Amino acid sequence: MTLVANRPTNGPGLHAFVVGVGHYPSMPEPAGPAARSALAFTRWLSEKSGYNNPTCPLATIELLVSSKAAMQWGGAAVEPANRDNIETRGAEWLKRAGSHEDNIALLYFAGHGVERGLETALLLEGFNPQSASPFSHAINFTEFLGGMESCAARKQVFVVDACRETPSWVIGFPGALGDGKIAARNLFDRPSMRARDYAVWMAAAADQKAWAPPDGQNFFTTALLRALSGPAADDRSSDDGTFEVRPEFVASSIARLTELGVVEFPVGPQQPQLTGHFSTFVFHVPAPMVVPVRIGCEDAAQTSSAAFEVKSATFDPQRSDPPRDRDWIVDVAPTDATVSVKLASGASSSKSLRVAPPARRVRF
Amino acid sequence: MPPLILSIEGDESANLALVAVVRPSSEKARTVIVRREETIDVPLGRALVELRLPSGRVLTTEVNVAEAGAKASFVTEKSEKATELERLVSPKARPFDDLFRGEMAPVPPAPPPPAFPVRAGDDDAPCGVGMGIVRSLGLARCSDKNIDVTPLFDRSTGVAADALERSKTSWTLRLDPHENEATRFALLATAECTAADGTTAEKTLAILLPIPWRGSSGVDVVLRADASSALSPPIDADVLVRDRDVGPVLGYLASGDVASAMSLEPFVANRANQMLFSKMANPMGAVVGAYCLLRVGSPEVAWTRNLADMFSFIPDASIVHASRLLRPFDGKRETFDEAKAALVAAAAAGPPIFTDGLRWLVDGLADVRASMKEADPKVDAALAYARSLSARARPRELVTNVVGDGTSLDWLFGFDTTNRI
Repeated sequence: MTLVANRPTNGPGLHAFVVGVGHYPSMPEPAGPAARSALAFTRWLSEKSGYNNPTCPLATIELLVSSKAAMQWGGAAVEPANRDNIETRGAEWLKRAGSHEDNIALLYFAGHGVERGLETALLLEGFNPQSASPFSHAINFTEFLGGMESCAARKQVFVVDACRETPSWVIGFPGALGDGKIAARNLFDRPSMRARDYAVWMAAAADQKAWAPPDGQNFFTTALLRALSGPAADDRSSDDGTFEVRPEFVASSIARLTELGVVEFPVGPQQPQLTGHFSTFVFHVPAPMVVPVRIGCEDAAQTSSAAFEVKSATFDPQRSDPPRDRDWIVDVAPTDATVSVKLASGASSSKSLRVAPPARRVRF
Repeated sequence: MPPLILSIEGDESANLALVAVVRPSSEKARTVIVRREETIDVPLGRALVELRLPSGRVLTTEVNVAEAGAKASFVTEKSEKATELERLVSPKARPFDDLFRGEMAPVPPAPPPPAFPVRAGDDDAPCGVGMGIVRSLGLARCSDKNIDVTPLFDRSTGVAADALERSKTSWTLRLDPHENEATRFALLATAECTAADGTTAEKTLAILLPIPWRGSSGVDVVLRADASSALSPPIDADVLVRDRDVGPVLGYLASGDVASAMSLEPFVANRANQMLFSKMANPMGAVVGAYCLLRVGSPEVAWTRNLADMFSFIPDASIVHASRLLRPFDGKRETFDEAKAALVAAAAAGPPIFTDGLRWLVDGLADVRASMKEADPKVDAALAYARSLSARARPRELVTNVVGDGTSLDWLFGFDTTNRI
């Protein structure tokens, strides 16, 4: 089974193709976190508290995951992310996504990636660097992006949680790093005269790795899902003050969350990037909308023994009692709030705070 | 409603078009463009003000807006550590961190950059696998089929030109904007590089330069040592356009804050149009404006056509026109032919100056090639040339950085069947 969600819509909908390559039989490096990341993203798409877009609700999710152990979704086996499945299931996804101009076509990829100059390749299960044509088991993402013009969906989002390094053998590799696989270029076969809006959220900058803890999921996917819960939403572009996630807010909100220590890329340098070509569009409307607030004392020792409270006229007070080993991070609705601290010595203090995305930080 | 004054104080020389987001208590947030001071009306109560810097940093402050109004101030200070241009637009150097006082999260100190080899004796400095030492640095002027290279640094003699402002960690080259505009400029760095398997090879890094940049603003190049890229001369270049409207947009785009870049679109459009109307005043600035518009909107076709016609010797002028014709493509044969001709002309004129231009050149030619029923040798050659540049380019850079084998520079003159890197 690969179609793990199928919710017919009367109008436009989001059609997702989620690919996680957590197992490369020919490569020594483990990639297990990629499979878990793909499943986590699929869960976010399908759960009630996850993806929400009243004008473009979830319609379908096509899921392919390669892992050492057989993967299941809803009791059925998930097919592997090999070349054949990518081509056949990808073509079906492309057809569904192209069924309405106002659809959102979404590709999520987690796995190994390589880059040579401006060319990016996403490696599939059968990739073997020792073979005669290793990139026949890869998606040339640069070509794929160009070919996606052939999909009638005029809003497209691509999430690439993969490394962007250049192994030395790739520099001298003759020819292109594979082809676009499912999306072929042809200017005269374009289904729409409307300009395409597409955004690419990449886990890392060029030359960087996309890191992951061995037993968890990729740091970028974790950060992305955190951002989509509210920090990446803003009301400045909406007509009615609704907090909306638009493509241009995502990478900068993750940067801000990282800066404030709300999310971490603890292993190596990793700066998520936004590329693409778009005006602007609503991708997701978080419900409930939450903003992380990080609260602590200048003196770490005081933080460990302090009691914190956040209250506002619009939500119930939230408290954090000691002991703790780090700042308290609490998710609250965007509003005017009061943050207070009571120290072990009995002293107390409070501060007014305008809670607004992507995140706030309070020091006592 | 009472007034809220947004103020950037301290450094009179900055005067940049920066983006602020104001989040009042009882209204949705709004975006305001601030140079030195801007006043808006907001409801009573608390307001959060974010100043978004081109370097990617966000400074925040909260104010209580009373009946008499309120003022949100951000202070810039002169700093000995950064040049004015670094303050403007360099997302890599992040020099604003030293210059603004505001409520910002503590950031762990970055490790000091490696010292640049400023003397011949620095040859002995240790270097890692894959890193060579710059053998020479020069400024190339390309016109017709001639290249004239002005030496800036020669390791064998240790002599550096006066034009280089040298410090322990960087070299800065301030470029004279008053040059013949049909001349192409590139900074060339050569080095013997060592691969992980121990093999060595001579490499030339060419950094295409957006000059001449006419008008009151100019272009600076800040060079630093960089050991991160394998098989490439160990230099990293920040090319900084000293333009108070366009500079911040480039910074916002480079640091990933596309939302802020979009907010500045009117500034860019106005400035790009001004450049066009004054014809030959600053073609490079017009190209940059067109790129910004392509990223955050859609420039007029007539506008890009004029640019391509008047400045055909700048590959990027043809590229922005072709990109505009193909995004979206109207399905007409004459549009296709015009775009094809523009792309082939761009590849014939040499490497695009901007990395985005190289991306669009490859993408456009690949689209054109895939859409033709019969092969066209010129399109095939142009695409092969563009792809060979693309495979050797550094994707993070604002301007095209290409690493070539050996010291041959024929490929700077554009495609023909022999000009592969």
